Amino acid sequence: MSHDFEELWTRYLEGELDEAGFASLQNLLASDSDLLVRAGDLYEEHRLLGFALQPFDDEQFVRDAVSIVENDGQQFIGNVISELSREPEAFARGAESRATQSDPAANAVRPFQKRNWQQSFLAVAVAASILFGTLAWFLADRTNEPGGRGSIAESTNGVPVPVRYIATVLLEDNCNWGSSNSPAEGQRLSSRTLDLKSGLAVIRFDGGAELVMSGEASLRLRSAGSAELLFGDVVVRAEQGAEGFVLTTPTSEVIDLGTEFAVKVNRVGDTEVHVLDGEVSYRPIDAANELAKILQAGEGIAIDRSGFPRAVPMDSPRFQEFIRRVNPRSRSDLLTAYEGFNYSPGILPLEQSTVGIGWKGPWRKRMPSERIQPDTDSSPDHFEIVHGQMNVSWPVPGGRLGALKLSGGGVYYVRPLKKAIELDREGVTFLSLMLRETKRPSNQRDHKERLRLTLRSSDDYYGEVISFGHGPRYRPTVQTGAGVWQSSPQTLPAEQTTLWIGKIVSHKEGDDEVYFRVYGEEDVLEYAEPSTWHVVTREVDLKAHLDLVLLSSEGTTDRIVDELRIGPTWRSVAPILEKQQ
Amino acid sequence: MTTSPSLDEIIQRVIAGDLDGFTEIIRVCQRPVRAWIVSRCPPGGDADDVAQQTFVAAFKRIDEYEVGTDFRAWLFTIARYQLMAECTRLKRSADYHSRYVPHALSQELERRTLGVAEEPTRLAHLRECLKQLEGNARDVLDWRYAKELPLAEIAERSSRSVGAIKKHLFVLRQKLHDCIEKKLTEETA
Repeated sequence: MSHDFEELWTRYLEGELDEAGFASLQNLLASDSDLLVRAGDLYEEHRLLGFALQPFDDEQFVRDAVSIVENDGQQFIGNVISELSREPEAFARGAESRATQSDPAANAVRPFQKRNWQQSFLAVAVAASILFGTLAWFLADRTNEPGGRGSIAESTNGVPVPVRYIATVLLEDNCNWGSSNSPAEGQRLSSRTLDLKSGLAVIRFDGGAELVMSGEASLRLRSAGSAELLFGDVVVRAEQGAEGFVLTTPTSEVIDLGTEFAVKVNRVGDTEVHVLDGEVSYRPIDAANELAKILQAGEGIAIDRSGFPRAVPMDSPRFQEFIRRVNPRSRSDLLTAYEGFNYSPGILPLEQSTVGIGWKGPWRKRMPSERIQPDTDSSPDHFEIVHGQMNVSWPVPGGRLGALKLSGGGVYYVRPLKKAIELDREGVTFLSLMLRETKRPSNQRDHKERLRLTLRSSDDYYGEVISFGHGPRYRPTVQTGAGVWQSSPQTLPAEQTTLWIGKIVSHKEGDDEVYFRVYGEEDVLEYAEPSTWHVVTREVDLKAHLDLVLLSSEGTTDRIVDELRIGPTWRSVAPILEKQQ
Repeated sequence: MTTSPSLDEIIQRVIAGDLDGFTEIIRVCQRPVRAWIVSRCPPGGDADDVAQQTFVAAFKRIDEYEVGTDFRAWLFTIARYQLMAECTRLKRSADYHSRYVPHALSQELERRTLGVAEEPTRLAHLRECLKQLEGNARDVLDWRYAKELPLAEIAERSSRSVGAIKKHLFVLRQKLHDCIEKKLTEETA
């Protein structure tokens, strides 16, 4: 075993490996399969050492699990009795509202003493998990909706499988979908069939592969790493880390080996495979695995219903060519709320902060009933508007026509939305905010710098919230109320203009998903949402209607904020650069 | 492998609505399930949370378990799905592979997750191998793994440099690995 591995591996296990070290370790492991297996063994043993030596309260674990089940069971029995008392045909309608009805149960299933935030989070998360699972149990046999919206648990050989979303719609261009349940940009997809009649759509699988389907096409999503093309043309791009994507057709199976390839299936199921880059493995669908052959870049093959393959000239546009043709444009026309602080520089009384779209009224300070956490508030009765103080590296006019300067101290401003973000419905909401940090204190422990954009409910101000921001350690953080927060290990770029983008995927039933990513001045925004985010929440199940935006700034330094956008798609809130035609 | 009659009896009680029975099931099964999840859970994942969810999911579907078949295998399959969901979530975090786990190792762990899910054989061997360690070596491991002390504090307690402690830990892990491999080989033979 090399000295390099010894050094890198020890630093890795001790959490001391930097980005360059990670890259070196990756190279070592990727180039030596024996070493990789050994590293896998060593990793397992490292984890098991912790398991064997660390004290663990087994009985507490048992008590916690039983408490959750017990509380849920009581609510479940109530639901069953309630359902049995209904007419059978009313059952389906009842199912529609069950998640909302059960929401108090989710709150009730929190019997634990709050020992720390993690345990509190665990309680809420598992409670949500139970609630969702119970619904799945209730509905699994009653819902004839293959794939559906993914809110019903799947079942494999009687084994409960957590509901899994496996892909995201990245882009839609003039799409005409065959079913009424048309997917929308940003929507998460579970296993289901997509029938495209015309237009172009790009799907990103959670395994990393991206697929563009155009024209008339029918695609069945199977898992995060596989799909079945029933008819039509697709191009798959699976870059490093996404290799192994499997695309089956009526006559063949194509396995990506780190590449880009096109597949065409005609009406009778005959299949063509064209390799644009890298290589793929393919075989007739009925052939044994060992009969799979490799197809190289520039090669094409056709496989008919009899399974007979023959070479054909490579003939397909590349993935990027499809995107270039579509030329994805900003969809700021879809914004549901916008605040650009487009006022003259100087002092602006709050009651005059009436511009923008999608607002029910001007900005205001917190009302006494909202001034609990924290109870101090040094917010002036006016805004200070500044011009030209942002360093805007994205194609957005913000920061030039006006921006809001938030001075040090604890300032809090609230603005009501016309259209609430309803977390008890299926929906996707994107938010973005541009801001500039003027100074980063060297001693962060003493300064407690915090900046947040929080969505709250006027019905229950201190109830469920979704908050994007950073705390004293300048790490991107998402908070969802009740002290539950999830943050990134990465630190925000210091003293520069950053663009915050949040995504909220709400589900009528089951876990919601909240994503948060911060872009620095050097970062380029793509035409679609990124494949990775700084924060990806887990087991958050919210039902509130969030109709208040709260901007809060705490600490000693000034901040400048601008371009607050709320919309249904990435393209509605992200300042993307359109290619010149 | 078939389930022992007593476990099946307990399961039948749970199906009939006896929650105390489920308490017994968790008590009996949680250690092996947790051990498997811990050994396969990638960095950044919450193994105990995944284990908790596994038991909750098992309770919800307990009536789907066919009494007389292998309950532990059934339970471990649930654990595998829960862990796969956790892995998917982790992979969507920015720079996960450049900050938490090298991509190759991540793939290797995923490959292992897809294999047979059962109480890790390595754990039993590890416990045996730990007994063979002498006093000072055991102290260092306890400080590192049981008390989770920073390396600097371990170095101070043992009057050595941080570099020497790192080296010592690497040697100890290697020694344990070799001991485990030897026992696995003997077992196979």
